[in-house]
Amino acid sequence: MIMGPGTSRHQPAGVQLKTKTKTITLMKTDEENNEWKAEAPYLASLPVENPFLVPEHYFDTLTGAITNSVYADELKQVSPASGYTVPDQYFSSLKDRILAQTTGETFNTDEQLSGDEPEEDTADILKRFPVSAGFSTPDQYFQQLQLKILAQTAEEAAPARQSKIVRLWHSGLLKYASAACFILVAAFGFYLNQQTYKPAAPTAAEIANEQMLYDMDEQDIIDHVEGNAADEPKNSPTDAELETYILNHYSQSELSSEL
Amino acid sequence: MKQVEDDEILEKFSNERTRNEAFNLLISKYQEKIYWHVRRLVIDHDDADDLVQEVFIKVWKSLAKFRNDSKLYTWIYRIATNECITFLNKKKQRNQTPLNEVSDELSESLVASSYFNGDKIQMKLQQALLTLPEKQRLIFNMKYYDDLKYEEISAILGTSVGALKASFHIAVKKIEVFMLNDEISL
Repeated sequence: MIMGPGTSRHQPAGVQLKTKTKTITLMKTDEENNEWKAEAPYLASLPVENPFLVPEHYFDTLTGAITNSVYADELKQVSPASGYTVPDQYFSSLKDRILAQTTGETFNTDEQLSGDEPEEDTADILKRFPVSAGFSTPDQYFQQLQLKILAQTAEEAAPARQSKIVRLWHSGLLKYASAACFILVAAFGFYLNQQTYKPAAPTAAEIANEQMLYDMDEQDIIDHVEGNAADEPKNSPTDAELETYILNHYSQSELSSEL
Repeated sequence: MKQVEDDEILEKFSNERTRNEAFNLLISKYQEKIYWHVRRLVIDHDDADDLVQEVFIKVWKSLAKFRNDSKLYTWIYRIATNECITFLNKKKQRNQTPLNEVSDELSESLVASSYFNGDKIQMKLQQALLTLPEKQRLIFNMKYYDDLKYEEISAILGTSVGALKASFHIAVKKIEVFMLNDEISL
């Protein structure tokens, strides 16, 4: 067996090797656990201090506090409730009894518990409540309420305030001035109306420039002018011509009968 | 005062006549460690006080079922850690706030707390810790303050040593940056 350097004569070689291996492992572990110090030299330079405080004698009493908590928890486990017991179906009938007492009625819980009568549900019990159950009003509230309402409605029914009349004409001068203005305005309006609606006779130049004339056929215009000339009535006959015509066409007897 | 060995506590606890004595020994041995573990996570003393009692109630209820496949203190640490995480989650749900706002709230209670005696650097270190995700903060606390080995933390959290190393190194780097870059403003 090869003995390592520094191996003691008094120890068996196996034990010495095991010790050496353990020492190397511990050194390696320490190295691993401290290698962060090279990465964070500032943090490594700080002293590892606990900055937190506890109240005075806290740890002296903590053991007692913990054992008390454990004891209390055990008690809860043994008896989850407070240790007190209640009669059977106590909580099932508690609500009904509270409601009955609120209305001032005596509720026969024994009968209900015995099952002699069918159980009423909460809605049925509530129906038996007066509307005002649980609420109160001051003495003579409703008598006063009626008076108050009537007083308010009477105020509302009172006639509306008369509106103030303001005279339009404070003086006679203003009245006449207004009348004069009205007449002037009316006259001016009439005048304008006449001026606006009077059709202006077209001048010869306007007619000549009328586009329609250019659009019409020239022959049509000539025919129209000649036709108008033909339709014109001839000169009226003279008295002598009329007398001649009458004497030539009517007899003496026809003329005397007509006259 | 000589610390009682876990095996002795467990042996006494298994005996009906010495069960209460064993539990008292267990409380005496672990109450401070568990308190500080909880306190560093929930910051507030009153919350920590309530949680420590809850932890030991659970220990009392479950100790009879404890098997020696893990160490007693890692088992108690695990219960305490779970209680803290549940508490912080409930706080988050109750306030309907995201986790970073819970961290803000913890930071505020840290500043307002009358049970804080650290100087500005210590306060800053705590604030740097509150910027970390919950698990990184947990790992950092156990490694930095409780000086637990990775193997022990692994047994408590049920996380591999490799993952723990990675998380711790990330946390350390973040804290270093926070401490060096941010000016101390308190």
